[in-house]
Amino acid sequence: MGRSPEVVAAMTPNFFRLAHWEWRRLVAERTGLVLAAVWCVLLAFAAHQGITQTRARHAEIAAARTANASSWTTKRALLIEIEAGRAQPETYGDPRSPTHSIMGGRADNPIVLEPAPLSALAAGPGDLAPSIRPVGMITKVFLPAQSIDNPANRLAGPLDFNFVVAALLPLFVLALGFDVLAREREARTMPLLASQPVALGRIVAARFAVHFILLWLPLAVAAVFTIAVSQAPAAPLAPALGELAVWLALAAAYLVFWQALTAWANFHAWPAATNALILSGAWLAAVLLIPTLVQTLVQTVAPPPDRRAFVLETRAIETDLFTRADAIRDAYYAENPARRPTIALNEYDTYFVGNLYPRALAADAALAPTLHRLATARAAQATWWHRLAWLSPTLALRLATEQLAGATPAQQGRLIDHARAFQQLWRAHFDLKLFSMRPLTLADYDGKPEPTPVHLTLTERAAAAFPAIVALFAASFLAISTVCRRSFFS
Amino acid sequence: MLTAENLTKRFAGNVAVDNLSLTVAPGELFALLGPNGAGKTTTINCLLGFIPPDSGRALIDGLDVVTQPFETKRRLAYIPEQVNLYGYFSGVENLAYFSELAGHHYANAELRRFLAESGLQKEAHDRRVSGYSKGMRQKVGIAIALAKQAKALLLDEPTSGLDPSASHEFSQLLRQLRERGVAILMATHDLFRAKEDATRVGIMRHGKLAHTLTAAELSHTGLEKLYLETMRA
Repeated sequence: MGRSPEVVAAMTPNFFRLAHWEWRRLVAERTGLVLAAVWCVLLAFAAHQGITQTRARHAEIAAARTANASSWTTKRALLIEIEAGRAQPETYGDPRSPTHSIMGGRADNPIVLEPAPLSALAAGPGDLAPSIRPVGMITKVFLPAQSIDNPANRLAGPLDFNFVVAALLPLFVLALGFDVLAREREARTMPLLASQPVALGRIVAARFAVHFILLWLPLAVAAVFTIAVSQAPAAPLAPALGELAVWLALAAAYLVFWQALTAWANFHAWPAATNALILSGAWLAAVLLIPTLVQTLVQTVAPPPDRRAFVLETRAIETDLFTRADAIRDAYYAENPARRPTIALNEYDTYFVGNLYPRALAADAALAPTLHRLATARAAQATWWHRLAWLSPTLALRLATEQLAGATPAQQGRLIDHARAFQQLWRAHFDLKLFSMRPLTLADYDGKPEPTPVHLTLTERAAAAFPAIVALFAASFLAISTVCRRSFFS
Repeated sequence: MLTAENLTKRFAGNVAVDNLSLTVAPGELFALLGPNGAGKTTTINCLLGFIPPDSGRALIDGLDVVTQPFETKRRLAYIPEQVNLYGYFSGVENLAYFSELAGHHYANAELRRFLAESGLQKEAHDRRVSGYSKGMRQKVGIAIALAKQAKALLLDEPTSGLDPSASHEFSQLLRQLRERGVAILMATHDLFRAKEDATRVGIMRHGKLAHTLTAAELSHTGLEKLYLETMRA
C-alpha cells in the first residue's frame, strides 16, 4: 500500500529522538540494562570459549608440526653421521632401519585441518572434532580421536557464539520487546500516545532499533575481538574480518526475525502475558522442537552410521586378520617376491614387517566398503539437514555458522579423506623398503612425501552455507514484510 | 475548528452515534452531556481518529481525520478521564517525550514553564509521575496540550474523580485555553461544571444530540431539569 506524503512527512522527523526516549526508558526502568549486562556476560563467556579453543588448536598444530619436523631432522642428521662413520647406531634408534624410523609413533605425520577464520564462533563442546590426524604406515585414520572421551571437554558445553546467538539471543529479544505496545495498553498510556501525530509503527520501530543496538553491538564487539585474537599468528586479519562481517549480517537478520515476530505479537493487541506465552512457544518451537523433529526425520530418512556396529565390525575384521596374520604375510610375499626380506629379521622387525603392517593393509582393504558406507550416510544426512534448514531460522543460523566455521561433520570428514590419501603416498614411498627391510638412504629421507594441511577455502565454506544463509534471510524478510503489513505504517 | 458532519457509528449493529452533526468554533467550549452509552466517548474517538465512522465525517480545522490522521492529530490534544503517563519518568520527562512525539523539542526551562502554567507545583516537576495524584496528572495533560500548541482540545470526563478544589483549578485552566482561542469539546457528567465553563451545552441520548443550548440560556436548575426530562423521554 502506498503511503501519502503526509504520512511520510510525519514519520521522518524524530526517529532518532524516539530511539533516544526508548533508551531513557530502559535506563529509567533498569530492566533493559540488567538484560544487557547478562547478555554481555554470556558473550564474554562465548568469547573466552572461542579464544581458548582456537588458540589451543593452533598451539597443538604448531607443536605437532615442530615435533614431527624435529624428529625427521634428527634422524636425518644421525644418518649422515653414521654414513660418514662419525657415529654408531643405537640398538632401537638406527635411522637406516625401516622399522625404527618409520613404524614408531614419532614418525607419524600430522595431517592438519587448519581452523577456518571463523572457527572460534563454533568452538562447540571441546575438541570433539580434532584438528590433527597422525598418519603413518599403520595408523588407523578412520577411528575417532581419543580426545572425544575427554570429560573436561564435554563439561565445557556448547556455550559458544553459535549456541549463544542461535538459542539465547531470541530470549533477550523477547524479554526486551514482548510488551513493547502491550504495556502501553495495560498502563493505559495508549490513548495519549495514539493521539500524537506519529505512527505507532514508527514508535515501535524506534524502540526495536534501540533493542537491536543493545544486543547486536556487544555481539559485534565480542565477535570481532574473538576473531582478531584467535587467528593463527601469521594469518592475515582482513579476510577473517570480512567473513565475520557476513556472519554478523546473518546474526542481524536473525535478530530482526525475532524482533519482527515480537512486533507481530504486539500489533495483535494481546495482553503482555499472552504475548510472552506465544513468543515463548515460538522460541521453544524454533530452538528446540523443530531441530529435534528434523533430527528424528533425518535419522529416519538417512539413518546415521551406527558407531557400535562399526566398532564391532572393525574388531571382527581385525581379530580374523590377527589369526590369519602369517597366511596374509605369505600371500603378500607370494604376490610380491621382490619385497621379501633378504636379511634375517629379529623379533621386533618380524612383528612389524611380518605381522602388523600386512594386517594393516588387509584391514584397510576389508574396511573400505564400510568406510564408504559411512561416508555416504554422512553425506546423505548433511543433504537432509540443509533441505530442512528452512523449517527453523535457528536451525538455518546454526548450520550456516557451522559451515562458515568449518565445523560440520562433512567438513571434518575432509581431514580423514586427506589423511587417508596421504597414507597411500607415505606407504607407496616406504612400502618396498619396509617389506624388504632394506636400509633407508638419504634419498629416502629427502624424497619422502611432506604432509600438507587441509584448508577449507572461503568458496567451499560459503557454498556449503549458502542454502542455510538463503533460508535465514528469507525467513527474516518474510517476517518483516508480514509485520509491516500488520503494523500501523500503512 | 471541530466538526462532526452526519457522523454515524455502529458497534455490532447497535447505533452508538446516529447522524450527529456539531461544530465547535475557536474559543468555544462545547460540553457534551448524556448518560453512559449515549455516544459521547464514541464521538470523541471518531474525532481523534481512533475509530473510523461508518458514515459522515469528522473534521479538525477542515481536515478529515480519516484521510489526514497525522495532520489532524498535530492540531488537537486529548485529555482522557485518566491521564496515564509513564510512571518511571518525571513530569518534565513525560512532557518532553509527548512534545517530541508531537514534533516539538523544547528546552528544559520551557517545559517547566508549561508545567507551571498548568498549575503543577514546582517541586513535583522532577518527581516520578508514579507518585502523582490524579489532579497532578491532569495538569501534566494540560501542559502537554499547551506544549503541543493544539488548536482543539478533546476532553473525556476530565473532572471525574477530582476533588472540588482540583476541579475548579482545572476549570480555570480550560477557561485560559478557551481565551487563547482553543476549541474545546468536553464530554462530562458534571452539570455544574458544564453550566459554569461551557459556552454551549449539548445533551446526547441514543447517539443523537437531543438539545443544544448556550450556557447563557439556562440556569443550573434549568439544565438539570432539561437533562432529566431528556433522559425520561
